[in-house]
Amino acid sequence: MTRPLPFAPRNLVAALLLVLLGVWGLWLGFRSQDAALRELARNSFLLVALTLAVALPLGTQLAALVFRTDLPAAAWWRALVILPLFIPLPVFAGLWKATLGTQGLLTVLTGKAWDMGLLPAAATHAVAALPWVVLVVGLGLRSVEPELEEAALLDASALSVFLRVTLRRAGGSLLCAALLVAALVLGEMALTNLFNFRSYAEEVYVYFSTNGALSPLTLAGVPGMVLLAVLLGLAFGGILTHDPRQWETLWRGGFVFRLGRWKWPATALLAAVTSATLGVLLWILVSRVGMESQRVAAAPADSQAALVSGKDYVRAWSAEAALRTFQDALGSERREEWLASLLHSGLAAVLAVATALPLAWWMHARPRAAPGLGMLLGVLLAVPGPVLALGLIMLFNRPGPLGYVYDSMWILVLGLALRVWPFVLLAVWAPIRLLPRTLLDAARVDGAGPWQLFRYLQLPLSLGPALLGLLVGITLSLGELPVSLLLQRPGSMPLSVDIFNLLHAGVYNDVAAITLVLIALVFGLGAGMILIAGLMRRRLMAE
Amino acid sequence: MPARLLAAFASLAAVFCTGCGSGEPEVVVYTALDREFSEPILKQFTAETGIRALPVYDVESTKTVGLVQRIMAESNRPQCDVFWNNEIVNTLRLKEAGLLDVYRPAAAEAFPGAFKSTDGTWHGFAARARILIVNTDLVDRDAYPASIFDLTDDTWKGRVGIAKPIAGTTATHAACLFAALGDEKAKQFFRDLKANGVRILSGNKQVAESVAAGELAVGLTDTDDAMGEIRDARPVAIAYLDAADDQIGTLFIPNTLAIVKGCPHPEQARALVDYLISPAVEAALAKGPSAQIPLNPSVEVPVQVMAPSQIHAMQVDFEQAAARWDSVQQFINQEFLVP
Repeated sequence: MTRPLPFAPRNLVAALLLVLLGVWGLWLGFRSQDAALRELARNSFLLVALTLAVALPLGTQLAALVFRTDLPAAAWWRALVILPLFIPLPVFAGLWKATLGTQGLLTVLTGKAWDMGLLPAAATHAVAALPWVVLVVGLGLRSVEPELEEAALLDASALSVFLRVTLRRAGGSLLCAALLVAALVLGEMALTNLFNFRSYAEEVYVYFSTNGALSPLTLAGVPGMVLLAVLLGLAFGGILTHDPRQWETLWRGGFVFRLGRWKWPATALLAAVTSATLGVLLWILVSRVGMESQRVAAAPADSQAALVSGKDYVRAWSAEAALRTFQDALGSERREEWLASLLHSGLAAVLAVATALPLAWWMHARPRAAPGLGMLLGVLLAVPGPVLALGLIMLFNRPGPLGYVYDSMWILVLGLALRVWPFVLLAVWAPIRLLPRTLLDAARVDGAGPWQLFRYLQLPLSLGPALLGLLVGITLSLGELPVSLLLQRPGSMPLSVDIFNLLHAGVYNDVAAITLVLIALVFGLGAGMILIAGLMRRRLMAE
Repeated sequence: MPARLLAAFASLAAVFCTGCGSGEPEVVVYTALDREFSEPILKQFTAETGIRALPVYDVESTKTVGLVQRIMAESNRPQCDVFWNNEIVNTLRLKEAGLLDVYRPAAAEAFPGAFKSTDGTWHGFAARARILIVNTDLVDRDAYPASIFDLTDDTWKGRVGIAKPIAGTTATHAACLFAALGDEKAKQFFRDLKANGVRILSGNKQVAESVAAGELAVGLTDTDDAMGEIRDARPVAIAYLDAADDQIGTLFIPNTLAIVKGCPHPEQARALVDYLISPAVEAALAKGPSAQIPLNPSVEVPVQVMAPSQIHAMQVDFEQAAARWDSVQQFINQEFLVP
């Protein structure tokens, strides 16, 4: 009698592909004949590796703390840790530069700026990736079967059960989180561009923008993209075919690990670190907003223009300057642009939800289609943003009806919709997945036709998921950069592009003001999402 | 139900038509001059003429080249009316590609011949200089490099910064050096610079910031980026290289204006060019934070940096520089930028 495999065949395939991806990346980075390709491959590989080395362990520990323990006010801690994933990536770069850039607070104190190269790029990516890791791993930890843990607790300590049972059962979510972070880092060029660190996505974007063609190095990255797409497809396929009982555990919440005597010290430590971090960041931003220069020496005559130097000026903080910065940074033009950005993001989210919802209902009745859909999601996520935008430009920038789309804002809306679609689909599918299939079957047996099913069952039940999907789509597309850069239309600069350009141009006062407003906006929208998710959860539990 | 459906379709149609044009006159301008400098000018234009300016600003990582590629890619169906470039070589590339329209604004008559085209396809105004920004805490006044070639000395090993010369004024500077020095001498200069450990940064602003922070002693950048650090009270000063008569001189790069052939709003485009090339705009740019240098002799305002009339300016044939663009970029990408 053969022994069963200790793990699912899908996991074995995924592990093999992961090893293959790593080997391929290392080979390109160290053995390729092309020096430029070696540099790009090595940089991209190191960037992902370092990001994961920081974000994965830290995020897993945070996820365990806020999702599976009796930490006081755990729901609020979850919100605080997860909501930053909706903050546009360039904002993280702005915060980093404000802290450790050439005029950063810590730079002034230590005398050393730290805003170029691999380490700042990886550190910023790690900070931005942390909420993603906490969310994905946390959901995985939360969906572990409580009966397994309770049974194991009879013979082992809580820590032992957590490490040997819980973490092991949630291993798939760790892999998912790692793959998601890898895809996001590899497909993104904002941070590498700002921190002057060459990466594959940035090379694709810069080469196309300056030459109007695909970089010869683009093709070299295709095998990696394919491998990553398959891996992500397997991961998403696994999520989409997850045991419904585990989904129910996820929504209802399972076994809670007691922190015991560590409960209040852990809470105090978490509160102290969070307060200190938020406090320092807010102070940095507010001090940036109010800084202004004043001339202390007389303006030079023409013949003395050669002698002008920094000694002729002095910088000081004032509340009036802060107010002026807010007024300038959030003036009528920028408010119009923000509204335009909201409109584009809103339309992109509507487009994404309108296509994701029917698909979610279709899959509800056909769970076997999940692996195929998972592969589609994997492909969409694995394709770097610049490559997606190039594809749209090549497709639509031509005479005829397609050209009308290219000339309008809809090309940007389409690009944004494609970028956020995987996340929107997951957001609308998850609550629909929990609905019993017998619900629709029973209505059919009672004589309901397709229109009646839609009108009286699917439509009302779709409102909550649709709203959640809209919020996810809007917040994610507001922060999207690569597609926005290449597809922006005359007269309306997307918000993420605006921040990106301001950072490049060194207009840090405006960036600080915009960052403060954005953080308030994101947490406001995020609170709305949490409220909706909570209401849906209570409704589903009641049913 | 039909009424609700009609209302839903009407809403959808309204949303679909959003951005289909407001009916008021408008002009689309692709501008490479930083938004903080060009936006106030464009706002003023709209206020005075009622023509709504719809700008597309360049992206710092790709600058003018990114905009030029976009214009080229859209050449079958132009969307841009006016190209406001903050340098000249890429405007000439568009001219060579036959993508520019002819227009001779009356105000262009006053400009020197070197800063306007003979065929009316482009017009130069408001220049900046390529200079060396120096950290005054690290470098004494009498130790400032006097020539661009001094940057290849061991004294400056690992202490010099330059922006990636694939876009913007740094790329223009590279093309002009090739035109002024000849291919071999220019290539040798860049090879020597690379061998001397030059730090290649993402943009002129980053070069200026790095020098101001003391990470580098000196850096090649533009006057507006250097003035930004000076106004921030950073320990920096400007050095004008090759100022002696027997040296190659300081490169002054004008802004250039051009109307795209076949543009959708030609009348509004001409109005915008007339406005931008006016003495009032040059004066505003000179007095403003970008510290531009007026090229119209009739504009008499205090200039914050040195003008071509005050120091030895590089004599360069911009058309030759534009003709060399592809070969220079090939060298830069395949040799200078390769680790």
